[in-house]
Amino acid sequence: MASSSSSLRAEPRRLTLDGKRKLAPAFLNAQEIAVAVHESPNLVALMKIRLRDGTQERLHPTVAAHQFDAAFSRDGRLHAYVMSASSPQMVLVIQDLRSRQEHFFRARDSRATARCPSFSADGRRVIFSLSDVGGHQIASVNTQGGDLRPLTSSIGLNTSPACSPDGAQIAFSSSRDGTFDIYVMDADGGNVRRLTRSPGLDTRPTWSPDGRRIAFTSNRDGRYQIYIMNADGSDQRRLRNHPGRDDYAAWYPDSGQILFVSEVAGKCDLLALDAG
Amino acid sequence: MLSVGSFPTRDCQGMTRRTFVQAASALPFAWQLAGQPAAASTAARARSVLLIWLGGGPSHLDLFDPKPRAPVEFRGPFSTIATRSAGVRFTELLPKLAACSNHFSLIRTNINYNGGHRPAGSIALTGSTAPDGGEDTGGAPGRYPPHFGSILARHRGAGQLPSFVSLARGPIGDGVGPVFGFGGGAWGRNYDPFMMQCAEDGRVDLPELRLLDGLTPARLADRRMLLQELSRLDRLAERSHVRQWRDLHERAFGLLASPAARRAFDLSQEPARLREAYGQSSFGQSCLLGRRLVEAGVPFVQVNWSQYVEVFYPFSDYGWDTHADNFGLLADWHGPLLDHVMATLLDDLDVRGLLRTTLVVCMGEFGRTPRINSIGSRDHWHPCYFSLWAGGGVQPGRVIGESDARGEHPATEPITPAMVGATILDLAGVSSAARAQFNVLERGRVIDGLL
Repeated sequence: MASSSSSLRAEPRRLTLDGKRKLAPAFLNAQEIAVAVHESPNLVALMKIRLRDGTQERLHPTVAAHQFDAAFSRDGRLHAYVMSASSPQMVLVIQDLRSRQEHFFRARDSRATARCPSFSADGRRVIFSLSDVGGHQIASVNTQGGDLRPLTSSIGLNTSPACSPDGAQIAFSSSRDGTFDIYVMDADGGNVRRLTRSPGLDTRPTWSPDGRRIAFTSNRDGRYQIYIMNADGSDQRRLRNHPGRDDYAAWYPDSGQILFVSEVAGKCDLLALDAG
Repeated sequence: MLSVGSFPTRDCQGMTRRTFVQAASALPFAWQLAGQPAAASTAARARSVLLIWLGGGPSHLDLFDPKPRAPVEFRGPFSTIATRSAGVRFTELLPKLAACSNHFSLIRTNINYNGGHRPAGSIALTGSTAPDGGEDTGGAPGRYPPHFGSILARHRGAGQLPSFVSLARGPIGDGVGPVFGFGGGAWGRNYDPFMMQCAEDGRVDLPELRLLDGLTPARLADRRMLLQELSRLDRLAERSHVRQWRDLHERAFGLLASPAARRAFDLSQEPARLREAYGQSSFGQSCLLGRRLVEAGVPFVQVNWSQYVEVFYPFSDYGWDTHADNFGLLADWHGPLLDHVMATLLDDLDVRGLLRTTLVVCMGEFGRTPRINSIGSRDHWHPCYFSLWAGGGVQPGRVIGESDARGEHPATEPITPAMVGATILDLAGVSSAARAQFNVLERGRVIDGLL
């Protein structure tokens, strides 16, 4: 679990120029991404961006509620996202991209919140963070939004789950030992191991396509930056040393590149960088 | 960058003749009434007041008053970081403010008397409860005493620019309704703030003047065209309203025709680099506009983080009412935005030498429950919260007051809303004698240790 602040050497490629606030990009496929964009004073909308030419369009043009935290199954058939409701509650939406049929998961408490969905490797379940009666835990539902199964039941907060490509493990962020660090557990919630031990915030883990590395966000050096480590927590390295804020890493599905949101001087844009 | 009359609202689908007249007669221009300066005024250390209003209730434990040694069901997941002020720590969500804490002082023992957003907002902005119980008990608008900004506007009297400006998409409040104490209150709507909206791209709208659709600042600068426009509108207005309407709008047109006013409203005159530094959000650009307004001499500017307290209701605009997912939202959204924009604002004011003459106060109506709720978040908490003070005679780098070990109650003297109001007004030159003359904040006194 040795940690290093040495940066990987690379120059980022800028994918957007609009500067709007952005959250949590996710790949639909190798050519397209979805990202939550602060579109207007009272709307965060999921935008679909074509990487080749940067063209953007609303992913859900008829949805008037705030939408964010997009996820896609590996076969590209299913899409999950979080949508605001007419209360503090945030609802998990699971959509079949071919039939456009939608299923919803609404938690018990009227204030409860689903965040950060991620599909299991076989696309049969959606793993997400759920703040409901019982605390802030990781749980999963089937693709119809039913059969809720808790995966954690710890003190502190558990969030940002990410399924490993082979489906065997889930990486997540937890404050069970004090501040947010990265942990992994087996797909059934057992065998929890701690991967990071930084004094600050380590969160939003995401697996490389080959399952050998995990990228995550950390402010251990004073600013939010992207870090990469081996899947066992070893060789933790900063992606780059940047004066602004780098956050929300997503691995390209077909290359060793990482897409992330970079904020500098108040402008948020999407950048891509070789993970080395 | 300045747009007049293009502001759409939920309840205004089009300007009928009737609504046209109503809008005209309801214009609340706090600057237009030549208030008689109070006999007992003091020298103002603060030429202007810039109130940064964080509606919804920001969590004190997760921002400026962390309790890392509290039990796990209280302390939250964020670690603490050192600041420029010896021995003072913030949470890790505020690295930029921690790095410039020598510019401001912090109060950790603010209290309110109500746990509902609207009454608590009114109390925090007026320093008093309503005699009829206020918003949540069937009270009527107009029963609260005036907002601190209305008092200062009356004290300073008329000027070229409005004396009290509030920057928001519309009346601040929650999904139920507006905060009654946002303006003139018992003094009447004439002392309400002049409302302006600033979009995330820096475009400025004046929603109160939406009836002037199609007029550009360039056209307004032409006096002959202005009079033609007034005559045209006179013919449209009902005769009984004409004089009142005309008086109000001559002043409004006068404002917009004034090069000084148009310059103050126009963010395109700022260097692109500075506009970008404030960030591409309505809050960031509003803070920049607020700085321009105080620079132009507006006595009281309130910059609202959002119009609504709610975060992600379908209509809402990311307020601070984080009943659900408090920690995720603060880490993703509220913390970085507040940290970046406030640090930029304080630095900008300091570089321009404006911090010496501008009192900056940043606060909400209350804090959030120190004990984490059953769904892993935090609810309303009015017995203890924070406020940030800078410039205008405030001694920087201090922490005033201490909360108890769990952040539930003040361990030292509570700072009441009346004390907040008395201190703001005292620094702005409204003495206790002047306040007594206005019959406002008579129980307030200046906060010890802040000046």
